[in-house]
Amino acid sequence: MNVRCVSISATLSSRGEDGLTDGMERHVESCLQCRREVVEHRELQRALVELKQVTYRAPAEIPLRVMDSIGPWSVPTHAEKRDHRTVVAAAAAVATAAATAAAGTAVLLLRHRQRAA
Amino acid sequence: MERERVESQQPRDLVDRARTGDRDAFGELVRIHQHEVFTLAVRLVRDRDLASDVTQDAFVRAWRAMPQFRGDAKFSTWLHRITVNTAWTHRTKRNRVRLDPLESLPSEPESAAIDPVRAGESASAAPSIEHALKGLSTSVRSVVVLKDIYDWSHAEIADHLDISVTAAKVRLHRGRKELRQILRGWKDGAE
Repeated sequence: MNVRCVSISATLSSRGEDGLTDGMERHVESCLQCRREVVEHRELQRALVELKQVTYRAPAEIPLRVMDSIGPWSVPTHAEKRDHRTVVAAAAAVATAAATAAAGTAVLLLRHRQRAA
Repeated sequence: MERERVESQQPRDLVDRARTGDRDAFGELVRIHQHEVFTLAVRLVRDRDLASDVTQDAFVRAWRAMPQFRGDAKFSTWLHRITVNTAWTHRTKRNRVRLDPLESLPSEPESAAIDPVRAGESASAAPSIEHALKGLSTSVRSVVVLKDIYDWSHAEIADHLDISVTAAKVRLHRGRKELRQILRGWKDGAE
C-alpha cells in the first residue's frame, strides 16, 4: 500500500467516491487493492442505505407506558401560556406596588420619628 | 368506533390535534411512530431495555414540547431529534454509574426483532452491517448512524451530539473505515 492508496482509502471514508480526483480514479483503475477498497465502500454504502428500510419492533407496552407517563392533563396551549404570562405580570405588578408602599411607609415613619425627636 | 375514527385521520391532522392537547391524537402518533423511534434508539444505545426507556422518554418529551412544534420540519424528523437528545441524556446518566455498556449487548443480530414485513425488502447485507455497527464505539457509531442511515448533515450531528463539525467528520471517517475493515474480516473469514 503506497501513499496514494492510503490517500484514496481516507478519501473514500470521509467524502466517498465523489471526493476522488481524476488522478485518484486513474490509479484505482490500475491498482487491485484500491479497486477492492472502492467495491467495499460501495457495498458498505448500499448496506447502510438498506438499513433505512429495517425497523425494529418496539415492545408492545410502549404506547401504554407513554400514555401512563404523560398523565391525564393536557399540554399547555398557546392561549394558556398567554394566560400564564398575564398572571406572572400581574403578580409582579402587585409585588412592585407592595414594595413601593412599604418603602413609602418606612420613609414616613422615619420622618415622623425624626420630627418627634 | 372512536378508534376507527382516530385511525382514519391523516398524521398532519393528528399532529395539529395533539398540539392542542388531544391525548387520543397523540396516542395515535405514538402507535404510528413507536417502531421508528425505538429503532433509532436501539441503534444509538445498543441495549434493548435502555432503548425502551429512551423511546418512552422521547415521546413524553415530545408531548410536553408539542405546543412548540411549528411544523417547519416533518413530525418524524422532529421526533428523531428529540430521540437523539434523549438517548444522549440516558447514556450520559448510565455512564456515570456503569462504564461497561458492551455487556448488555445481544451477541447475535436481532433479526427476530426486525419487522418481518420491511426487513424482507432488505434481506442482503443489512443484518451484517447492523451487527458490525455494534462493534463501533458509541461516539463513532452515533455519527455513522445519523449521517449514513438518517441523512443528517454534519452541522445537525455536531449540534445534537454537542461536538464540533470537524469532530463529526473525523468520527464519520473513522467509523466508515472501521466498518469496511469489520466487513472485510467477515468476508475473508467466510471465503
